[in-house]
Parts: sequence; C-alpha cells; structure tokens
Amino acid sequence: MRGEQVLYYGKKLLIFIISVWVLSLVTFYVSRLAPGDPLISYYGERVEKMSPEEREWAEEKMGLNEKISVQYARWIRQAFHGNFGISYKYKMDVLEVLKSRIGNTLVLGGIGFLVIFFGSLFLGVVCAWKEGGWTDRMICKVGTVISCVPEFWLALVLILVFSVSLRWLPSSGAYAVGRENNIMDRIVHMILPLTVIVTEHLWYYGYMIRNKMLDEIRAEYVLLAKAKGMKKSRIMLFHCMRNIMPAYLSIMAISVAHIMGGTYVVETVFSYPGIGTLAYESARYKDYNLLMVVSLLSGIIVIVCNMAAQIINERIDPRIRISRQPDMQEVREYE
Amino acid sequence: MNELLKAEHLSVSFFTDAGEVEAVRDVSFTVEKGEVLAIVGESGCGKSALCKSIMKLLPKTAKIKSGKILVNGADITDYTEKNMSRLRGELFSMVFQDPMTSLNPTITVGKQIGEAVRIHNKKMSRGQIRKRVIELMQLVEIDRPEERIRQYPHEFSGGMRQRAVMAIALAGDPKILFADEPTTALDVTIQAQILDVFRRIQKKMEMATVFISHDLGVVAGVADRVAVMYAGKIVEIGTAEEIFYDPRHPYTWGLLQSLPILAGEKEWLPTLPGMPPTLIHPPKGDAFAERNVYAMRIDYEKEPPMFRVTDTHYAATWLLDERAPKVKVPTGGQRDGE
Amino acid sequence: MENDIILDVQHLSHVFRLNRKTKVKAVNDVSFRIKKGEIYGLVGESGSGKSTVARCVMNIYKPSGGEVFYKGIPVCKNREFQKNRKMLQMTRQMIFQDSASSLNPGIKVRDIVAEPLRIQSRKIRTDKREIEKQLEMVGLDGSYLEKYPYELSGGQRQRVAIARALLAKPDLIVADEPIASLDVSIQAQMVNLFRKLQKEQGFSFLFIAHDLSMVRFLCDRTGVMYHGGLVEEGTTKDVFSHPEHKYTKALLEAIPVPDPREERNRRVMKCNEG
Repeated sequence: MRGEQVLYYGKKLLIFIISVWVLSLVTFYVSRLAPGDPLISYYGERVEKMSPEEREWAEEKMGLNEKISVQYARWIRQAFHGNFGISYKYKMDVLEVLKSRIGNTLVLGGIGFLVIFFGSLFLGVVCAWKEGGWTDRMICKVGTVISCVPEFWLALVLILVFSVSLRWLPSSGAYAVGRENNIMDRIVHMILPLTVIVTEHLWYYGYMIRNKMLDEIRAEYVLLAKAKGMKKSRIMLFHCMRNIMPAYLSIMAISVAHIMGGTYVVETVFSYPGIGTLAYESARYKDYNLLMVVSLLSGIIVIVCNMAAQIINERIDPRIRISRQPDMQEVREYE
Repeated sequence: MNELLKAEHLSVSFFTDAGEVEAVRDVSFTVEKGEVLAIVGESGCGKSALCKSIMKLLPKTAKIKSGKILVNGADITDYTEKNMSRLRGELFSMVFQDPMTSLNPTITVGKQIGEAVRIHNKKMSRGQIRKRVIELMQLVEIDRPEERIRQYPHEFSGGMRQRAVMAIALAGDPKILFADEPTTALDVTIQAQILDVFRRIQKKMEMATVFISHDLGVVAGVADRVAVMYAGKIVEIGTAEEIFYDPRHPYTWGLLQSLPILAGEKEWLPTLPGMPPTLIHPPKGDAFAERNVYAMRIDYEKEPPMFRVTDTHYAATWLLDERAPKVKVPTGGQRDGE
Repeated sequence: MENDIILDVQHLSHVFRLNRKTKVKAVNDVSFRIKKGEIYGLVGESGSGKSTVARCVMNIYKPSGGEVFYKGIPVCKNREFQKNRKMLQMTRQMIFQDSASSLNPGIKVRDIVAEPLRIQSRKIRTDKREIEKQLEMVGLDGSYLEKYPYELSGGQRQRVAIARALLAKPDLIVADEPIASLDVSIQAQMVNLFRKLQKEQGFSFLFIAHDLSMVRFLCDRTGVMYHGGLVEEGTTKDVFSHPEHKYTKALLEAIPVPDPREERNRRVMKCNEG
C-alpha cells in the first residue's frame, strides 16, 4: 500500500513538472513572437531617439538578439538557480516586484474566494430548502441576471455610481497615498473590487449547489431517513450536504483559477496593485521576465488546484474507493 | 381495541401538469396488532401512494383529499410535518423497494443505523448506541456485526442492504411497519431469505405490518390478510386463505392465473388482457370492466359496492350481486359449497 | 448436423479489471450451444455473470478467453467480425432489461422501431405501414407510432424494444432480463408474446432471467449459472424435475408458491431443520 501511494503521488509530481515546463516554453515563445518592442519598457521614451547601434547594444545587453531557443535555454538555466532576471520596467528583480504585489492579490482573491465558497453554499442550500417557493424563485432569477453581466462593465457601473456620483468609495488603488498602514482605508478600497468578484461568481456556484442538493433530496435514502424520524433540517445538513461535499470541493478547487482570472480583470479595471495589473502591464509592455514569472505563478496555482480537485474526488468519496467482494454470508449457503 | 391502524374512505390525489391523478380512491382498511396485511396490485394502482400518504412521505404535489387516518384511535390526518416526524420511526416505520438507493452511500451502515437509534433515545451514550446497533444487526441476522458496522453500503450485497434497511426501520421499536415491495429488487433465493427474516421479526416484535407487493406468490407466505388493489381502489379484501382458495373478484382470478407456477404444462399462460386505466380521469363504472371478460352492462355504468362474502371477506364486483349470472371460477385452490 | 447450431459458446471467460490489483472473474469457462429455433434460458442470481455472457455473445465485451461461434463464424476474432459486420448486426438483436434507459427518450416510437432498417438500407424514411405491422405484431396499435418512450408504461416500452429487434428479421435474439422490471401480470403477457413470435418467425432465442418460473414456462433448454460458471444444463424439463446442483435446488425451492398453507408449512419445516 505504501509503495502504491508513493507511485501515485510520484506520478502526480511528474505530471506537474511536465505541465509547468510546457507552460514556460509556450509562454516564452508566444510572448517573444508577439509584436511589440521590449526596449520601450526599459528605456521608455528614449527608445525613439536611439540610433541603430545604440539599439543593438541595448538588445545585446538584455540578451534579446540571440535565437529564441538560446534565450530560453539561458533563462531556464538561471531560473534553476533562483534567478528569474530583472523587470525591464521596474528595473529590479522580478521576484521583488512580485513580492510587493502578491499580498494585495492574495487578500483580495482569498477573501473573494471564501465569500464565494460559503455564500454559494448558503444560497444553494436556502434555495433547495425552499424549492419552488418565492425565495427560491427570486434568488434564481436575480442570480442568473447578475451572473450574465460582464465583469468590467459591472465594475465601471459601480465606479460611476459609488465613486463618481455618490463619492462614497474610492475608484482605484489599494490605499490612499500616505495611508498604507491604515487598515480601514484598505478595507474601504477593497469594497468595490470585492463586490464585483463575488457577485460575478457567487450564483454560478450557488446554482450548482442548489441543483445538486435537489438531486440528493429526491434520492430514496432521504425518504428512509424521514421514515426513521429524522427532521428535514438534519437530513439536509448531515446527509445531503455530506454527499455533495466531495463534488463541491473539487469544483471549488478548479474554480480557484476561474476566480483568479476574475480577480485579474477586476484589478485591472480598479488599478488595484496586484498580480493582475502586473500581468496586464507586463504583457502590454513586453516586460518578458516579469511576464514569465507571473504566468508561471498563475499556471502553477491552476495546476495545483486541479490536482487537488482530482485527489479530493478520488480519495474522499467512499463510493469511488471500490472493494467489491462477494458477500460471504450469502455465498456460503450453496457451496 | 386492537385496531392499531385504520384508514377510512381515504382518497389521495397528485396534482400534476397533466391534471389530477386520483392515485387512491376511497380506500378503507384496518390492521391489527401482530397482523400482516398484504396489499397487492399492479404498478400504478396506488398501493405505494397509500402507504406513503399514511406516513406523509408524499411529495408536495400530493394531497389527502378526503377520509381519515386513525392510529391507535387518534386521528392523524391533519398532523403537521413536525408532529409527524415525532411519530415516524417510533410509531410507524417503512422499508423501501430498492435497497441500492435507500441507504446513503457515503455514510457507514453502522452510523446510519445508529442515527436512527439516537433519534429515539436521545440520552444514550456512544457505547450504548453501538451496543444497540449490534443488537439490531443481529436481529436482522447480519453476520459478524462488529466488523460490518464500519462498512459502507457498497460493501453490502443487495440482500444485506435490505437487512440493514430493516434494522434502521426497527430501531425505534415501531408498532406499525410498512414494507413497500421489500423483495422485488432481489434475487429469488435472497428474496426467500429476506422473507424468512422478515416474518420471524414480525412475529417476535408483534408489529402490525402493511406489506406491499405485485406478486401474489410472495404474499402467500407472509400475509394474514390480503387486500387486492386496482386503479386506486381495494377491490377485494379477505384472509389469505379466502383470497387464495376462494377469490371472488375477476381481477384476483386474473392475477392468480398469470402466475406461471400455476400454469403447469399449459401452452399459453392465462393473462389479463390490456393495461390498467390511467388515473387522471378514471373510467365511469367499474374501472376493471374493460379488462374483465365477465363484464356486464352495469359494470360500465355503476361502480360496484363492496359485497360481503364472509365477515372478513369483501369484494367489489357485480358478479356477487344476487341478480348476476353464476360464473365458473377459473382458478383458486379448494372451493367448498357455493 | 453442424448447421443446426446457430450459436456455439466455447470455454468463454471474461475478467473485469477494477483497478491494478483487483480482478473479478465474471465468467469462467462457460460452454453451451443453441440450436436453430430453440429457446435457451440462462438463469442465475445477479452477479453470476449471465449478462456478461450475453454481452460477449453480442460483441459488446471482448471475452478474455474462449470463443463464440455464430453460424460458424468466430465473432470474437476482430477480422472475422469486421468481415461479417453488417450480417452480424442485422441478424443478431438484443433486448435489454431496462427499456426506459435503453430506448432514446428523444426519439419517437416509429423511428426507434425503424432504426435497424435504416442501418441496413440507409433509407431515411421507412414504410410506415411496415412499422405499423410490426407494432401490431407485438400488440400495439398505430396510435403508438408518434409517441415518445416516456409516454409508455414499462410493458409497452418493452414491446417497442421487441418490435425494433424483430424488424430486422433476426435469426438470434438475446434478451437480458427482458421482464424482470415488470409486474407479474405483464410478465405473463410478455412471455406469451415471446412464445407466439418465436413460433411465427422461428428465430433462436437466448433468454436471460433470474426468475425460474417464467423460464420453466418459456424455454426449451435451460442453463444455470452460479458465480461465473455454468453449473447445470439440460432440457428445461430435466433441470426442473431432477436438479443436480445444490444451487439449482435452492433456486427451485425459493420460487414462492401462491398457497398460504403450503408456504407456512414450508417455513415451519425450514425452521425445524435449522
């Protein structure tokens, strides 16, 4: 059994490494083949006034004049030593750039994820409980409409209403200048982005919970549980919930990527200093090293989450752990 | 008074998009302590709806339209869900047809039985509950209960699962047990085992039992009394001997005849022609008239009342009217007199 | 003499792999023959491998051992199967237990019934009268042509499945528990129908069931399967009057008798033995 588990996780690890490697290769090539001038991000306006010789020298200095395969080989060699190069735009180690931003994204995305996780569960269960009643119908209708609204549009509308017209909430950034350590200020800045992230995804998963719950409620074991005298609330929480949990957990693990993508869009619209804006900027200004790190990080998160989902599916649900042997009590009688 | 369960003129309807389905129409019966009443009929005749309506386990689309349900003399027809959940498991309990789906697949069998135990004995300690679960498993004759208590339903075969379901149903020492085709989904040999276990427990605990089946053969070994249901109505009711040896309703004749074991060396099995009517708009007169080779004109116009044959035996067919022509009964064991 | 045999199953075995470690021997060295125009009953409890045999015969599973000859063709050999594919698909038909899930719910009865013809001749529209005739043969009138499977009862659906199988004028029909999910009274109707159709059309019939009483009535010969092996085989009369294997005896004893007094006595006897 021990050896089998080592094999199982070893296989997963191998798949993980191959996926990350392929991802880095594809990102590296695609980013370099796309049109655009990486020198702009380093030298800014000055690029326009550069002579061809100066340009050549600059490209050589940044290692951009070699073949892509050679560049990639060098990048990967350095990456193994923990050196991911410098950001052209910020002129410092990309990891440093990342470090300064990642906290913001983790807090925003993390809180968003938690709210979605529990909010969906709550909404789904309430709807399933009141199936067909007006609460259920209202939530279903409103939820469907809201989840069809595009993220950036909803963000713009919220900015218009709450920042421009009412002037209640700030429209961009993670904190007001000079108030970096003021928690209240940070929370105020987070309200609008968080609202967009949550409303966009909440009902998608809530609806799923509702339907899975309804499938469970119609199962015959619920009837038996009722017949033995259990109350509806207990049946729903202890039996039905338990049965949908493995599926929900694995879907929520995959949803991390989905929600992360949403967070990136929202960050960009609100100019929130996180990984999302960084990804957008680096792609736009051809800040190659930064782009590599950001996409690798995002990719790793997605791959890890998907693997977690798979493991959850395979390990938690006892139905999947098969061990079928004939029932000895019944077999014996004719042999 | 021994009448534990009494239904009086009970009518139950499902309200669907297609219209009102009159699943149970004006049904009356009683079950006494320690007695097994079998309800027999084809699928869709309302036998399952009848039991579930008494336990109030029907979906919201179903309503008790009229009639009364009396348990121990108390009228429970209008009980709320809250009151009902107090009665379920303790006063009456139910075993379902398909043991594959009636257990929760993600919870161990022991826990599911234990849950039922705890509902009725809230103060029990963990050890006491475990002891009681093992007792219950022994009662339904599951071998090695200490080991199997930790297993999941998918590690149980069909027959063993049905035993586990029985253990759950028995956890609250119910006075009345409904068994909804408990052996239909099982193999013949397993069916025989389960019926044996069932009968032994029923005798031991002296439960009043309503046993639903579509197979008269299965019922013969279990039932004290038999009610034959057709199109939402009880068309014949009597002791097992009366129904099997002296059936009076042509539908009962048909059911008995279509059992291949009685066909012997015949070339064709005698069958009931046609299909049961839909219950959305039940036909006027006797619902069975269309499939009845003995049907008379009155069968299409007026519903037959319950004619008394003996004090325990009643049948709803115009053939029992004194003006009806005498027909030769095509089946049944011994018939004396007539 | 050899030509008399339509289906010859020789030393058929099938192993299911659940995962790397666990293997389940579903069928273990099963051999039997079905003659032309014969009704052969295969009985056994669920999990005894009888459905697996049927599926191997119909090329749904590839057996892990043994050979199935249909009209002398070794159908489990891929090349032979491909060579005769059309003939095999047309002349062997299968009926499943659960017609609710084996009939496509989105297709009307007329198209379900016409499907084998369409595969055969690639005609998009089949003769309506022919389908009607086919439905009549299984006891359904023309009004069922335009209905969907969910509008039918279990017995009616099974009739549609039979009509579909018969339209191809098969030489062999394999029916996997075709009556198990029906009411007893409808079961009797179906068994009569099978018997009538077989008499009229003369096909061979592999009838799989767990209910012995219907097999006794319908089948010419019977095989009893237990735990993947064929434990007893013979003419139905012999098997039922002189069962050899313990399991066959148990199966026969388990058939409920619609006689309350006899049943009670049996029960008392059993209690005394134990």
